Amino acid sequence: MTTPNLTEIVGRGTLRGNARRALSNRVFLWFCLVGTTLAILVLFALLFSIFLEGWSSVTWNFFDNFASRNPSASGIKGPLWGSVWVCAICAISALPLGIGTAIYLEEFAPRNRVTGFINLNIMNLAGVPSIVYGIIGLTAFARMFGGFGSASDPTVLLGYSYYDEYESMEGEVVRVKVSAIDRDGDRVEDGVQASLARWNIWVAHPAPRAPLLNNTQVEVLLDSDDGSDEWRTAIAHVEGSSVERSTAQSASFDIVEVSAANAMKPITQSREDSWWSVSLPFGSSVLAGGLTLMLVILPVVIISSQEALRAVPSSLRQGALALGSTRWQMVREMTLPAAIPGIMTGAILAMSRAIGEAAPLLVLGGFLLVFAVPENLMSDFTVLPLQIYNWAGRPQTSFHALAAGAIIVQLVVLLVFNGIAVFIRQKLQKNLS
Amino acid sequence: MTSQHSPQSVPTEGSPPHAPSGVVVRNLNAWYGSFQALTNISLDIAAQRVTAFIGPSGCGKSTFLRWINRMNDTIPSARAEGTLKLHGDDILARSMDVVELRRRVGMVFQKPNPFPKSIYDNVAFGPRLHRVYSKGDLDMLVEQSLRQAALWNEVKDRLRASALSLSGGQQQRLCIARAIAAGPELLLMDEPCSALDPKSTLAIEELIQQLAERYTIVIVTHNMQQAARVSDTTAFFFEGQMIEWGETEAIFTTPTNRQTEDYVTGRFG
Repeated sequence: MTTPNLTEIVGRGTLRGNARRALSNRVFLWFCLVGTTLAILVLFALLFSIFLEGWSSVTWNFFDNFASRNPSASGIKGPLWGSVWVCAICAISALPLGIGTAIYLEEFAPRNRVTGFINLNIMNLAGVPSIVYGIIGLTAFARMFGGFGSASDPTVLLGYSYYDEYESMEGEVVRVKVSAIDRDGDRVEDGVQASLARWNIWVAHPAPRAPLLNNTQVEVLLDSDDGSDEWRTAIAHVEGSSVERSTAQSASFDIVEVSAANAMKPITQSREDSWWSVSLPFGSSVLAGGLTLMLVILPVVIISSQEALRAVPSSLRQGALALGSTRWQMVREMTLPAAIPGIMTGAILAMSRAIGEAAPLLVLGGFLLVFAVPENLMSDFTVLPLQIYNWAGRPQTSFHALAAGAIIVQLVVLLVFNGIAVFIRQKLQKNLS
Repeated sequence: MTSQHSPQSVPTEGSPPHAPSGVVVRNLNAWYGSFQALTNISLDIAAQRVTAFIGPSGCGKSTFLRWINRMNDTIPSARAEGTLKLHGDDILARSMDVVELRRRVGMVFQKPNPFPKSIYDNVAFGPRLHRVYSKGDLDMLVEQSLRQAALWNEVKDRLRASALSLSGGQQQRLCIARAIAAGPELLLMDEPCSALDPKSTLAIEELIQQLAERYTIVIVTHNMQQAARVSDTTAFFFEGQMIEWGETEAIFTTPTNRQTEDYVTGRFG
């Protein structure tokens, strides 16, 4: 048998019908078109019904009112600011952690089984339903595994100021800051009164030449015999209503008997918080909410950052290393700047997911009705999706309109976020080689 | 960049960059996992000379090159044993600071790999990694590096333009400028012309010969004519072994080994 030549073999195949090929081409095209059209129709139907129902609710008052039993007086001020706080905490915690993890896994970690196992698990975590993260958040952040008592009676309090409140003879309440108050309400450090005997007292405030009024708050310099001195706030206690002070600033003021020896007892003690006040456990606070959302988006941030880093050509890494970069110089000067548009895009898409999450915060015990804007990390909060959930579940249709209005706001926020992501991808993505 | 000072007049702090160094290689063996890529390599790379490594693909010449600046450290399965000394310093020693080693041993890759930065920042990248320079010194350093790489006249008016806007040949000369700006004693070139057109290749070859006055150069090439044109010494590698090395002229005209002769005369490879 002689081997046929190439052209002969090419000619042996049975012809496929051209008409049939053209038909299957058209059928598939139509199939795709129908799919796309359906998707767009559903989207527009949704948007149309939402706008029809909710557009009338979106007024200025809608943004400036808290939730209320009266639908016409209801608004989204609480959930809007709650969303802002929770998402800010989420972004501040998730982005550095996630990007750092991605940099470690891509640029530093040895390529071995352990790294592979970690990568596999991160990918799995990205697929875990967010409600599971709500349960983790509840246990780990809101309750802290029960290790610090309950949220209503927290064990550790940081960033709070404590005051003893005195009532002056004129009936005013004078507050004196003390160092701390322990859980039973006792003053941890007894301020000025306890050790008064050992100190010489120098009054500096109010102004030295002014008469010293009885029962007023003053700043005193406590000058001890052993050479140490410190400023304290104290209550001046003088005979009569006021006393002329000596012109000599350094004179010893024997008139200042700072509510000595139980002469005055505080009528009450108070606690003030600052924006960074934290108590353990976190309870259902914005901090716990933000950290729970961090858990939800962390795998997404890590994976998208890893992909952005992987897209940086290895020739750039080799070039930087060959010039004598350390690994970190290579990352800082070369890989990270090249990958940052991709990382930012992923981060923004992850944040738009965080904004839309309701389930984990519901599990965490996010409040459905909140009548205040969060003031610090320990504030109660609700977020837009929770408010929508609450309103949509009510029997009265007027609340459904409010829900639709809140959905419009939510959609606009999401649109802005995704728009920024697209913008970054289009404009900042550099050619790398 | 307006200054007319030569780099020698730049007052530098600390030790000045080293003079060109040679490399002494004795009984070098290298592996990728269990595959032995180099077997008992011994040769001397003379200072201020051009040494060419030739041989068919997969013969180990690039592996050898990448051990001289320990770029193979980035490959987890790669390991090497033997003696590899740069100016008396043991390159393979655990105590060798690879960051400093790579400053002393510059490298130019097969495919031009300019960083996605400006031309200026590409050249200044290496110097900035290791030292802090004043603006004026850095400008001079960039200018001198670009002049030595025969690129200055083409780019002096657009130093802030992206390095990616340059042509392939210009990009490779930029990579050479970038490598010499860090003050190396030795330049490794891994098939620097294989991605370039003949005209750019010629420009790089001329440049290599000029640079040989100041630097020790090791070049890996597939192109035997190129090895013959630019190098003083040639080493022929085959299947992980160095078959023969010597004066380039001798290797190409009177090779002592049969395999070398077959290869340089084009009978295989």
